[in-house]
Amino acid sequence: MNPQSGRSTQIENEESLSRVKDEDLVVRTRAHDPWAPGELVHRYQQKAYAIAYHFTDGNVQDAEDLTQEAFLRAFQNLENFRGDSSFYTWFYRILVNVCLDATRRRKRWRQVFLPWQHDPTDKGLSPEERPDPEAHERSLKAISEKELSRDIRKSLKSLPEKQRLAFQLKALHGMSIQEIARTMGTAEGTVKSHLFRATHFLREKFKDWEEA
Amino acid sequence: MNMKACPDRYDTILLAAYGELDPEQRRDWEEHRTACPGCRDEYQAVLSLLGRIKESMPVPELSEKTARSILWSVKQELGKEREKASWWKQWLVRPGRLVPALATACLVLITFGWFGMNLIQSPDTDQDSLGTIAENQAVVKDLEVIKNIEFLEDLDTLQELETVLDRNESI
Repeated sequence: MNPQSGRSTQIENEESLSRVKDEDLVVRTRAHDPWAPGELVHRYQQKAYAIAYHFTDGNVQDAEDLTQEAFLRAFQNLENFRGDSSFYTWFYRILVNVCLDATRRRKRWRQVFLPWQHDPTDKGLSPEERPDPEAHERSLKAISEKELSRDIRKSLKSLPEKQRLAFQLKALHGMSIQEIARTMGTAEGTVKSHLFRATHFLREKFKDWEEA
Repeated sequence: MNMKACPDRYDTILLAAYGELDPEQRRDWEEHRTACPGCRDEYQAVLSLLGRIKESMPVPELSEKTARSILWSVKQELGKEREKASWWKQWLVRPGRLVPALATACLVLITFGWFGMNLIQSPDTDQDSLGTIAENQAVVKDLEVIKNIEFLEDLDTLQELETVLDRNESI
């Protein structure tokens, strides 16, 4: 067989496979097509990894593990996918649940085994309930760009879980409010409320920086 | 000094910054934005903040090697699960394979059942026999009483006679 023709056939196959719809891939995966799950992983692993990466505060290893776990859980529960929503919304919902579970597990583990390592920002309070950050922090005008980035990450971390999730999915991953609502399993109005509160909190916190 | 944004427009400003306004709301917002410098400034500030946040939280590209490793692990795990599933399916699809296992199970049940019944029955049998002996003893006693009933009646008469005589003597 001519290796060149073999290569071109492979490229053609790859091109035609990339045109296959997610729903068809799901059907093929259910029918134990060995190629279909690979294509689904290939399509969504970068975005899934990005979401997991932000959830784990930039821990590469944890992000990879969570991405893998989310795909596994999705394929294990593929029978439950009824096609009411798109595959990726359904998958991101699983991913978000995997990430939330991991975050809660880590939090519990810290509380039990490292109770002295208390995170002062992690009080589970809404931004409205927290003390005014400006009263405690030095002027943002003076801090460097790098410090500002660190501060942004810290502020995001201090947001309540759902506000943070809604904000990250919207601002960092460009999902629509409708998609976020489906991913979080909540109403669009609730997502908007989370999003507005989070944005308002960050806007207030970094007002000085913007003015500077 | 910056003018303040209209308080009733704050949600619209955020929705506009997130690109979530429908065409009609968008038109309305655009008209307002051109006329209101406060809202325009706030909109720009929110856009700039969102841009800044996105910049400060970049995501490292998933390397080809890691991507392949994730895919390989997922496929590996799925393969394992399918093997497990197919093992069960083999039994379910071809029930003929279950015959030796079922026969063995029946044999075990019968054997243990027989021994078990014997073990259960033996203490009861002892109790039963003890009960029967007691019952028999009681019956024998009753028979003796019945046999000697006339003699006992005579005894009662004699006792009564004795008491009458004793009374007469005392008088």
